[in-house]
Amino acid sequence: MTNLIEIENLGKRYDGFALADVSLTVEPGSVVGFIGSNGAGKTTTLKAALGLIAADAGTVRLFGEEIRPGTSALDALKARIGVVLDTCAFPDTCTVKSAGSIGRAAYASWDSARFAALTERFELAPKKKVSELSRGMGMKLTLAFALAHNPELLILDEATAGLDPLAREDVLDLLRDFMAEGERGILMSTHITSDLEKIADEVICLDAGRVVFSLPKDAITDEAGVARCRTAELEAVLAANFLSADAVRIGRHGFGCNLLVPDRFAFARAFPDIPVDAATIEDYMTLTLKGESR
Amino acid sequence: MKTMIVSDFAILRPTLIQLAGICAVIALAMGYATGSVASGAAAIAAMTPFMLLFSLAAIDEQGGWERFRLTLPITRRQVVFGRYATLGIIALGTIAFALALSFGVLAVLALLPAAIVPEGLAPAENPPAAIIGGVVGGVCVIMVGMAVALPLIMRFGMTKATRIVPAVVVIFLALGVGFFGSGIQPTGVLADFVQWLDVDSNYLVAAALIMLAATAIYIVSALVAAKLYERRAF
Repeated sequence: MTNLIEIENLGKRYDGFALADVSLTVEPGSVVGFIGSNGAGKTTTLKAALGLIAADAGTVRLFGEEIRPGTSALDALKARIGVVLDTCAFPDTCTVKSAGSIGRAAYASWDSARFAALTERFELAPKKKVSELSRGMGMKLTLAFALAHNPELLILDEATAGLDPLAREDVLDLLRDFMAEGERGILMSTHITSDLEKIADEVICLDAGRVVFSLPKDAITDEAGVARCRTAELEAVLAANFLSADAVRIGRHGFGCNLLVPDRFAFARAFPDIPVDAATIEDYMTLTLKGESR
Repeated sequence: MKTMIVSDFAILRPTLIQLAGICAVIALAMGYATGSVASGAAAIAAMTPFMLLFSLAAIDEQGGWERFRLTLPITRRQVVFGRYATLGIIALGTIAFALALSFGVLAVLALLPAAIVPEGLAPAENPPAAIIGGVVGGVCVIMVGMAVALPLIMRFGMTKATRIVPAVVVIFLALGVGFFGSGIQPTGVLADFVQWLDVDSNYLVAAALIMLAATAIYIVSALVAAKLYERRAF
């Protein structure tokens, strides 16, 4: 089965920033969440995946074909992708209807009826100008545009940012519907990690241009945990060598500390007196990036 | 390229409608002030494509549109050639609009009593040769201007290019003043050419030749801009 995206050892250097050895795969039928702090390199990776920038090292394959920025072969691949970047992409003077005209000109597979249905679902009147839309409505327009040509792959960069919780849930429902049809995939960069808990299969975290972890979402939310320790309990856990030295991540606070544990059930069996909660993706990322090591 | 042209016109549509009204007012005001329909027509012919060029370039930088556009199935070369095509269509449209407006105004003026029409605006004072020459000349000058400005805008973006384009224009003006400082005297071949223009419909041939020359410069500029745009980072 051909992967939708396959990035191997991607490298890109700018003044003061370098993306190095980034590898990721989006398999058909999977949603890959892409997380990390601002400036970690997520958008640079997405730009390279879309051929907007040329990589200094590594390879990017879309639908099994290695991409070369600026070639017409890349056009055919881009026609199979829906993209939502972090702002409403259309200029202020554009109307909802004219966004549809642009889509019809750009994509051979453009489905005007689907675009009309999506804009109606999002309550976007055809004559409404982009300048009259809120940020959230603008993002919905971009999402409707991305979905209306029946793409096989969605690349979303902060697509749910600026949406209220109900609108976000609506968007997530749309993404679930999208994934229900065929062997499609989503690569989704976001700071709203709770969205990923609802939809992602895989979570990749980037920091300072490098992949820090790449895990199935269930390994984080179903298996990992955060142990709520007092200082003495932490010392006991560390002394017992329950965790390998390089896996220890501790977040200290006024009343004790949080310890990231990869298997909360095993931890609970080993230390029944220490409470351990399920980890959220945010817990996992925060402790991994900011936690003290041993 | 079709995507680019469709998107440019979709974005410009509200501006175009406003601009048509503004141009009509300017043409009438300038025609009245200068006492010549041809000068009003030349003014709007020169002004419209350049204004729309800068409108499009400014809109490109709004909300990441330029970056998003590259995620569509469209290559960078198609973006550049599409933009040149859009502005080429606008230049042709401007010629048609300016000519229609001028001849329309003259037709209305011809219906009015001669006593109330200012002398310079009388149809006899505004022969077709002057109007066509003014409109085509104005558009051609601005096409050359766009041929200079567009590669810089494509390479550096509107914000940076607004600093660079005037500098380049000033350099060209300075060179022009240095070269033609004593003025152009219609002697020799040039005098013969001016005389030839006055014969029958030769001015139409001259207008077509000037248009061809401006188009050739415009095409070369498009090829340069395409090369420069390949290197632009987003």
